[in-house]
Amino acid sequence: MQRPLCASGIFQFCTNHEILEYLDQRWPSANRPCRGHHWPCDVSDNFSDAALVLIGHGSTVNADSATPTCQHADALRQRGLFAQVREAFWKQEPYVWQVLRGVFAPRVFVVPLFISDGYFTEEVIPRELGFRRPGETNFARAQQRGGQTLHYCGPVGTHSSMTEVLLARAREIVQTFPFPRAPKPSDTALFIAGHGTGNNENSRQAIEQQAALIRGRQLYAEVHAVFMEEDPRIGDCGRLAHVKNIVMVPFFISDGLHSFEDIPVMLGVPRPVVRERLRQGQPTWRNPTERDGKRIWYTAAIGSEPHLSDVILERVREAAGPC
Amino acid sequence: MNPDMRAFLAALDTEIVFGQVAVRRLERGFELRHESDRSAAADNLTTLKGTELRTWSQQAAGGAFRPLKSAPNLRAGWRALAADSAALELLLHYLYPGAVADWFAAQAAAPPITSYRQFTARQTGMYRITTMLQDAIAGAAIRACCHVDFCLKRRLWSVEGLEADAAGAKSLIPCLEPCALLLEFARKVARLEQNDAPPSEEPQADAAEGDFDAPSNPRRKRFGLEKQALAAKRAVE
Ligand code: SF4
Repeated sequence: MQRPLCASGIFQFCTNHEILEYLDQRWPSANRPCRGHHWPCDVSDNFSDAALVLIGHGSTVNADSATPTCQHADALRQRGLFAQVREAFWKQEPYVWQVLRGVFAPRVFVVPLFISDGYFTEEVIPRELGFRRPGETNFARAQQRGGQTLHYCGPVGTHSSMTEVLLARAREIVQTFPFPRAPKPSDTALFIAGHGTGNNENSRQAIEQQAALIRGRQLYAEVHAVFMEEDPRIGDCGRLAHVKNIVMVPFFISDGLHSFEDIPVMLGVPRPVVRERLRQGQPTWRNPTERDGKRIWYTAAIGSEPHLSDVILERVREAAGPC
Repeated sequence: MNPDMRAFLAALDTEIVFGQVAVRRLERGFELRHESDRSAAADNLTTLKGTELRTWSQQAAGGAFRPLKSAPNLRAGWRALAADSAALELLLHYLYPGAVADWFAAQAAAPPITSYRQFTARQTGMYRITTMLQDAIAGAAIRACCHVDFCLKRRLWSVEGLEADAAGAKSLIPCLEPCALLLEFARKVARLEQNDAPPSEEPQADAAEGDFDAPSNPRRKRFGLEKQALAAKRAVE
């Protein structure tokens, strides 16, 4: 069942039947925050008593890693929905273990800007926020601390509405570079590129799930999940696609070494050329590039897609629950 | 207004120097500038707005990335205006993320300080190794990493055998627990100690602040000196 949240984030367009079905699915009736009888109620965007904390990985060696987290924190701050919006990082200030000292709102929503569930979202971040004690395998996602209720939300990457983010990225790149003309999705193979094993995260699962969701919509001629370190590989896209046009979207939060350098190399640009372009501050991939009879468009990482702010809000609404 | 900002404003009479930033009360609102520009004419300074200040604080002179905002290399030559306390809070957050909250928390009767041992004991994966440093070596690593040449936060946490920084040392910004650079540095030191490789003698240009693999990293060079001092002390004892 599609989540019955309407575009505005208010449930008013949904039938009672849908709402009850949704509530049953999301919250088993025993611990459902409301029984649904005074629905539609204010599952509105009233977070004026709440703080939002966005968590990114960050880096001690480059500024790129933190950029998307700051970008969405800025965007959501501007929207003025929350009393306070803070970003925090594992590798940069304010640190995950530090950030809650500066958050005073009675309700606090923590949203990890990560692409999948894994070591960071399930172990490191909850531990450093004090949600999970060392050795504990499970932890409560909503906790009371002093006068505050803290909600630890799911990561953005596994939310079903990431599909919209991916589609927006894919649409936008061919519209920006429509040469010789923008191909129709029905003539295009969409590739979602991820890291794969070796990074402790279940990114493969998240990417395959998105590929299946988009495939189900029957928009694109083909939809494939490809990886840097696992089969099917990014470099095999030309062989895998049965149509001429390829759009490749990296399912990473930040642009960095992988998206700027490694993937263009896997797509066939010699590494010295990529490095030279980097050195000159040019894009490392030219859109579109013809390779082996295919025309390839390659987008920036999904983390900088503006729609991601909406996915963050979805995670908050989900944790807030109705009423 | 959040309690940390309320306390900060109460402490701000006409001017306060926070890290390397002088915050002044104006007739309406506030002005921020680098402390070395305190007497500069406003016209000679570039006015930075909002997130421009964050971008400015991300790079040192020469363009190097600043992984630690409390490093003493914030570039001068700018001023920023805040119309009210909310705007001031955001600007301070861009310059020294989380620092006002830490400054406020440090004034509590029992400040939330986490020692090296408490902090490293909860680490997992590649950072478990940081628990293996003996107190003396951990002390030398901390002395090197938190040296005033690299960080202006006043370290309130410690490890057995090492004093916390004295009141008035470095700056008003407290450090309540190890930072990510310290954790990374301690890991590197643990690895180096395992291999017991002699430090390279060749003078080299400084490597990037966060690049602890390079022997020419300034913190690593400092650690070499701290270890020499430790060996000398042990010889005397
Ligand atoms: S741990 Fe040391 S280097 Fe890191 S912020 Fe604290 S005082 Fe500075």
